[in-house]
Parts: sequence; structure tokens; C-alpha cells
Amino acid sequence: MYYYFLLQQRILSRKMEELGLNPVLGYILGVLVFLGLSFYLFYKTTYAGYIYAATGLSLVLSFGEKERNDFLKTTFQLAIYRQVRAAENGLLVLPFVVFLCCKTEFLLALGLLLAALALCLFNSGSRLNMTIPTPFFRFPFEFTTGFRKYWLLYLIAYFVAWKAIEVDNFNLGVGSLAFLCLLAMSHYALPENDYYVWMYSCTPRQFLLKKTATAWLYLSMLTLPLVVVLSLFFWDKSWILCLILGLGLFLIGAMILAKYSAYPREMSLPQALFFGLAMWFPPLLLIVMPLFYKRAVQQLNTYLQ
Amino acid sequence: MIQIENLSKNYGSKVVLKQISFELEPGKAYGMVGENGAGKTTLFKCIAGLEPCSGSISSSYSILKNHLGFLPTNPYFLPKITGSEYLQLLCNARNIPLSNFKEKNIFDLPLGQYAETYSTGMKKKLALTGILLQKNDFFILDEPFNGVDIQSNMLITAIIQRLKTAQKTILISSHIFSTLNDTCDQIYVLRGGEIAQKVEKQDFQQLDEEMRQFVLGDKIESFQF
Repeated sequence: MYYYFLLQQRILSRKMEELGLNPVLGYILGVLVFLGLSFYLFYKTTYAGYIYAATGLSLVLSFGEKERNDFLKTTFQLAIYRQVRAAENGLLVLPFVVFLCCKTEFLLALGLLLAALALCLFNSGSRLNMTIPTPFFRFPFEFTTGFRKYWLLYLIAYFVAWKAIEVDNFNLGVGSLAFLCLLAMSHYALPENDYYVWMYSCTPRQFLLKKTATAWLYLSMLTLPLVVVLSLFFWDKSWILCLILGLGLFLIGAMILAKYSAYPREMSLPQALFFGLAMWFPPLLLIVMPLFYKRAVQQLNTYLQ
Repeated sequence: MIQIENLSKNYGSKVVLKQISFELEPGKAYGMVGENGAGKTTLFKCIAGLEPCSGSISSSYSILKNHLGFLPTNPYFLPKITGSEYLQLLCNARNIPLSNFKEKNIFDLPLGQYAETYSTGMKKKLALTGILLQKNDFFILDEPFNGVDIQSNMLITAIIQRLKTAQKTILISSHIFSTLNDTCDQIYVLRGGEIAQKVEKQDFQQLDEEMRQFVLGDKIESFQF
């Protein structure tokens, strides 16, 4: 069991090294970010405790994935397996529990710890036989997989938009539109297996154009109905909605370029920070995009030419 | 005709492929045999352009990979993509205007299900269907018979025969000698990263015997059953 946890620590360190980050610095940064976000959350809302506990539990649930647990079950004896799962879940929620205690939310902290320990008896994410239909079958794959993974979040975004109309809150509507754009961008965050680039018979430029055109088509399909409906109710502010949509289309194009500029690796931390900075201040994209494009063409040349 | 000349590949100081040269003609199937780790998959990836290597690979095509169908040993499938979406993706990649795969589903695969949930054999058959739909001229099939049921095994053999008739070039690796015997015109033996032997059809049985002797020897005796 000790060796298993040692391996987990090594895996985490290697992932940080792959991101171009010194592991020690990474751990320190992780703690600081965690504390910063925690303080911000509790400063921002009165429901912070519940959101916090839910976040901790969702982390625990992600460790209950069936295939991973099947591997653990076949590797360890049942008693050891239970200990591993309990220790894992306990360690995962420990920072949340400690912070909740610091905020004198003792009942919530205890509930979170007990729920996390109880969850070690269950597996989540077992494969369903049902195939979730999507309107993206003509040009797989990013939106197809993304929609199937995060369909619930899409549903929530549309629900929030509906609520925005109901309570006459334009900002809420804008938020749901921006969230949809960010969600779509996340489908391009990770690099695909090299076979799925290699198989294209086109130049890197054509490849990037195809990917961008598909992203624009499908992002428009997802957001235009929202923009139209919100515009009907907030007609005088419809230009803001169009601006957000335009920015979303622009950013998803930049995201594609950023992804393939690092291909076949994931974006490095400096690249991601650079991209994050450009998202925060979009005019920076005008400088960043040509750089990403040039690098993406170089990287794709290895597989396409 | 595809010519491979002095193809070499190193992983750091470890030499995996040494100065490999051979030719592949249209309308013929070539077998590649060798022990695990002999370098077959690396060689295939180098020819496909999925691994950088030294030496030259020349053909009548300006970009060979655009006419090449590569079936990897363990085809990778993207998560939450159905069988038909996978085929659509492969057709889109080669600008093949096809969207109804019912007729082409010769292996009777459940195309509406997520491909990642398929069994090993079904995954292999789906990947093979995909590269057949792409209308390639050159095929590299890495262990196409692995994990595939006997009926599909016969079907794949028949497909390879038909591809040969259609003047396509096929390069196959397999650990099941009988399948190579049924499909190939020549077999190359890869040993220690080099082509150790080139065997013509009439000498396949002899090769089978030699490999048996070479592989088995008296190794099993060490167990003292």
C-alpha cells in the first residue's frame, strides 16, 4: 500500500515536470492556489461551505471510476483495496475538511469526511450501454465527445439562460453564454492520439482551417439559439451578446492554434499562462495567434507531410 | 512500387532497426515475422511516418501516407465516439463522401455503440473497415488476425486476397503462420533489427519448420514438467 501511494506521488511529480514545472514549486503553488480559491469562495458567497463540500465530493467521485477500481481490485486483496480507497478518499478531502474546520463549519467537515469514506464502498462512472445522441455526427470528434462528457453542464447553461429571462437578469444570460463558449473551448484542451492527426490527407494549414471551421459551425449551433432568444428579451443589449459570441468564436480558434502549437504534448504551463493572459486581455491574441499558428504548422508538419 | 532503403531507427543509444532495405510491389502481400521486440511495429510506424527515422522511403506518390491505410496492433479509439462516427471521421480525413455505413458493415459491428466499449476483435475489425473505406492503395496491417474470431479471420483473409487482385500493396505482420501462408507472396524475417531472411512462397513451409526449431529448441525442457 505504501508503494502504491509512493507511485501516485511520482506520477503527480512527473505530470508537473511534463508541464515544465518544478515539482516542489508545483506543490507549493498548488497549496497557495487552493488557499487563495478557498478564501475567495468564502469571501464571495454565504453558500461557500456547501459549494466547497460538493467540490470535495466531486473529486472523490472522480476516483471511483470503474476501470481504475477494477485494476485495484485485481491487484490488491479486498481488505487492502478498501484501505487504499479509504486512504485515497480521506487524503483527497483532508484539505477541504481542515479548511472547513478553520471556518468553524464542523458539521459540514464531519459530513464531508464521512461521505468520502463511505464512497470508497462504491464505484462511479460505470459504462452505460446508452449512446447519447448529438447533432455533431457529421464532423466528429471534439464536439461529439465533449458534448457526451459534459451534457449535464450544457443543460445547466441553457437552464440558467432560461432563468435569466424569467428573473429579467441580463448578466445571468451573458454568463450562461460565456460559460457555453468556455465549455466548447475545453473540448480542445487535450491533444488527441497522433493517429487522428496523421490520417488526414491535407497540409497543416488546411488541417487547421478544417478544425477551426468545424469549431465555428458547432459553437454557432450551440450558442446562436441562446443569443437569438436572449436578444428578443434584452433587445437593447443584444450587441453585447453578439460581442460575446464573436469573442467566443475568436477564442476557440485561438485555442485550436494553441493546442496544436504544443502538439503532440499538452500545452506547457508558460504556454497556458500566455493563453490565459490573452483571454483576460483579448487584444493580446493578435500578437499570440500568429506565433501559435507558426508553431502549430511546424508541429503538424511532422505528421501531415 | 514502394522502396525502403537503409531505414534505421534508434531510441537513444539502443538501435532498433539497422539499415533495412526492401521493395514492395503492387498486387502483392508481404509478411513480416519476428519475435516480440524484433522491431516490426517500429518498422511499420517508420514507413507510415508516425516515427521519425533515417534512410529513405520512396514511392510514386508525392506523399505516401495519404494513400496508406495503417492498422495498428491495438487501434486507439477516442472516448465516447460511436463506431459509425469513427468511420465518418476516417472518411472525412481523406475527403471520402460517405455517411451511410450500413452496407459497408461487413463484420456486422454494432456501429451505434461507443467504439471504446468494443471487444479487442471488434476494435480491430472496425479499424480495418475504416481503412478499407478510405480507398487506400497501400496497407500496413499490424497483427490483423489478433483477437479476431474464426469467421472474421476467414473474411480478413478473403479481403487481403481481393486487395491483391485490385493491385493494392499489403504489408502484414502476424504471429499466426498459417494466415501468412494463406495471404502472402513473400515473407521477411526480422531479427535483431535487421532483415535476416527473405522467403518466397514455395519455401514457406520450410520457414515454418525453421522458426519452430529456432523458437522452441529445448527451452520448454527447462520447466521439467
